[in-house]
Amino acid sequence: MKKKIIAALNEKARAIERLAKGEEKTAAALGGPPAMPQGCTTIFDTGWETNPRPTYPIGNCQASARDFHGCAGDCWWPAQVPDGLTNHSDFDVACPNIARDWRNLKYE
Amino acid sequence: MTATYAWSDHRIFEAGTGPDARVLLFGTDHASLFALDGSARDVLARWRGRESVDLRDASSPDREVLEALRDALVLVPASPQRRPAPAPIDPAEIPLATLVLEVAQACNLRCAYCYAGGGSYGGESRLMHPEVARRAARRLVESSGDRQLVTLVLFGGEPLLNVPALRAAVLEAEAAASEAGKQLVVSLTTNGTRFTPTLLDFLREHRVGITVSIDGPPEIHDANRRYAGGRDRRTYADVVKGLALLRTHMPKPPAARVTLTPAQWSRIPEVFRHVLDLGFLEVGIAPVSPVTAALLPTTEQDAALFTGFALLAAQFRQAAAAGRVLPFSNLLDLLARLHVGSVKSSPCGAGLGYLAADAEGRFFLCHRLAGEDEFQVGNLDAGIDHAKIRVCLANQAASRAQACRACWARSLCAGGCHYENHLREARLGQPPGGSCDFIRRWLEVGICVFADLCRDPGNPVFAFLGRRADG
Amino acid sequence: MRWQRLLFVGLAAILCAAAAGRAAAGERFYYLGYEIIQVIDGDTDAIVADIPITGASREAAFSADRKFLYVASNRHLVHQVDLARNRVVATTDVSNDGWDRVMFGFVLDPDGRTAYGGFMSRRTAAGEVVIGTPVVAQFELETGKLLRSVEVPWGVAHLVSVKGGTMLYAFGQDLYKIDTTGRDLKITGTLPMFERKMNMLPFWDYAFDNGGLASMNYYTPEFMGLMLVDQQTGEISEIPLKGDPAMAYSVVLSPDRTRAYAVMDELTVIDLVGKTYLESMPIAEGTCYAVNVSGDGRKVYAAGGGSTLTVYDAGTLKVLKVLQMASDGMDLRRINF
Repeated sequence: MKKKIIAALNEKARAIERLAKGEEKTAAALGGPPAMPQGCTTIFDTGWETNPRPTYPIGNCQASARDFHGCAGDCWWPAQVPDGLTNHSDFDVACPNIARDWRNLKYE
Repeated sequence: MTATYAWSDHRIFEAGTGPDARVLLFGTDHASLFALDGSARDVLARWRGRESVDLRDASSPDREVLEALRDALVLVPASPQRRPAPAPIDPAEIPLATLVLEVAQACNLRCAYCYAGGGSYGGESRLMHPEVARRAARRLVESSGDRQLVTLVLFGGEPLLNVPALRAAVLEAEAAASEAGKQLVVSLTTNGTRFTPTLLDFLREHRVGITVSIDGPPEIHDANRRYAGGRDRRTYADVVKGLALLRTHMPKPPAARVTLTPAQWSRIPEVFRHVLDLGFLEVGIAPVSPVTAALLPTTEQDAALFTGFALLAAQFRQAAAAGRVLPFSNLLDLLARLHVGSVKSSPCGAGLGYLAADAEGRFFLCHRLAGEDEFQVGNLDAGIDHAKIRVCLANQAASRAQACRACWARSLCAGGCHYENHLREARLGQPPGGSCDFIRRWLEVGICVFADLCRDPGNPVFAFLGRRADG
Repeated sequence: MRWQRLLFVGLAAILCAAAAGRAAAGERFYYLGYEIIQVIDGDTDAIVADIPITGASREAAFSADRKFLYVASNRHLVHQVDLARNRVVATTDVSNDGWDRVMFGFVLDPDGRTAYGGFMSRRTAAGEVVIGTPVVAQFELETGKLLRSVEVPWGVAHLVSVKGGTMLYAFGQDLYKIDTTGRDLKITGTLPMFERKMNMLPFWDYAFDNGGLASMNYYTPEFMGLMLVDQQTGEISEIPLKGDPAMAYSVVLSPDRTRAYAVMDELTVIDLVGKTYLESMPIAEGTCYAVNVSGDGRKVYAAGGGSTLTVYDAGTLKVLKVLQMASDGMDLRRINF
């Protein structure tokens, strides 16, 4: 943030300024301790994967590919994966390694 | 990386004139405050009207400013998705922090503007039984969850009319707090006519913080605050005598609470100075609540109220330039919140960690709403009725939700006093939002005073505000 | 006639030991992947064998004689993996009688012939879906046939076998203790967890790897805790941890049981003596489901979720090696021969 153009006056503004500079602590300064994501994902969010901790990658998403098979139909996280319980029980055959094989996901 | 942005809610203020002129930007969502330079103001003026801002459309100097505004979260990534409204605070999740005891629903005064109907809050005058006081005090500590600090407020009516209950509450709260390893703060609001040496000794020993109600020089004070009976109903002289006695017994001066009727608002600076000179620690001024239509202000009176507060703010600014704090409570509270940039999601703590108990041990949303059935939220026997609190707060918020959503000051105000709103809207049938204009103008004064303070970041006043914000 | 059965099992073990080849001495990790299990040598941390399987692996159990690894996949297949030959030698389907079953929780019975699973089931009758009651059931490993069962509340997701298989702990909303010694399986006790606001995802317990102590993490609104189940005695210990909770899928104990390692987006080191967190390190490869330690306690492994296995120095948490695995994975299990 360019001091000459905009100068932070109160503590909140200074926290926002530090956030823009990429300093880690300030994400917390904006809203107290970060709340853990709870509950389920909405349609295109990667809920659980969103990293609420002030650690790498800050405020960003963990690659949802890492949790893809854990979200499969028989399992615990109802995210956007082929329905592995009824219609595509063997979808993992075509893409056992999601980061590599995701192009093979051709399910309706 | 996105290049399309939308404006987040913000407000521009032009503070000061001539060489002191400054352009301030208040970011509503975060209660953040920035100062803009001239180029930023011009660029902002050119771009502000656009619904969406594509940085690629901007010339290089403009883009520099727009990027700075983006970093300040004034420009935020345009998103077709509406952000989900924050979940309302669940009162059941918030442990009790403060309990106000209406130890005496009776008063030896009959103030012209009393919202408590002569202290009784409706019905017969009555005193809280010491046993009820004890139970309430213990309940405060027991309901305080993991809080380290609990606050007991002794209130009325005139609480000093019921010393047995007052003593019982203080002693029981102390015992309960010490058993639970918690810190207890006790405060007392009194009309100052009933101090005795024995009583003051008790208050000193138990470190009770004292607030005395006093409305200014004799002619104003005595017009407002009169004894219930007797030949000479004036109280000013007795209050001053009480203050003198208090000074000899207490280590710390009391705070003053001034209430003024609309007709008196033109005399605010003079009243403040008079009361401060009586030796108070700080002075807070409350414009009277319109308990009857006669107390609703005219437009001119509203203007006088604003002028009075603004004059005190100017005096504060002068004192602060010399590193001194003018102890005007209203402004200090506002500046402390501006300093931190704290965002309010509810206007006050009523029902959210703050409750009042009346003489019968019934809980109410706050001390001012005591006796109002629709704001009764449980009692000592049945416990705190969180479901009712939710309903009360939701009802209070509902009528102003739309106006608040569109208001730049929402993160500082969050809707105003429940009791004032209830009086104006439910009792007197006024449209919602009657005090909004005053509140916004007052907040603007605070923002400008704060920005002025910021010229000298080393000013000791900041340390004072920081401490006040921490409680 | 329990002693007779035990005698038979003992004889069978001796015979098998004489007949079958032995796995080479040393330490092996089994990476439970999708359509594949990969074997990692604990000395070199290199992939030494690939074992094709059918399906997405979920749970696994080493046989008591340490010759076989049983791997449950797709929640209804059970593969018997011969550890000496690194191949699947038999596969059973528990959905074999007209019911589609999904199995959550899988433990072997000491008899070597049967296993227990937590089952949900469904079938169609006259075009309508029929949902079976959730049960914990004993089934034959050879045929997949259910032998006996006990109805359990919905949500049982994991089983731990204790006291020599005479008792099963079923983890659902609460913990249900199931007596297996009678003719019928019987729930004999419940340890409340839900009411105590405990929340857990108990898919990994590393009871075998920990030397007979199942380790799982749980959360309350206030803290993270570890739940340890001693398989020998059945004793359950809850260890609330002091400090801000670390988010973790799974947790394993150091061999000396002074520490625990937990993984999700970070690898977190837990001090079991001080009952607090020592250190937390983001896992550069990303979210992991599985964690394990070497038998000497010097290396920590974080794997699965995505298709990586990261080897850390347990003392410094320095990354020693990152293996790219053939598939994403569910778990990483250790056995020392």
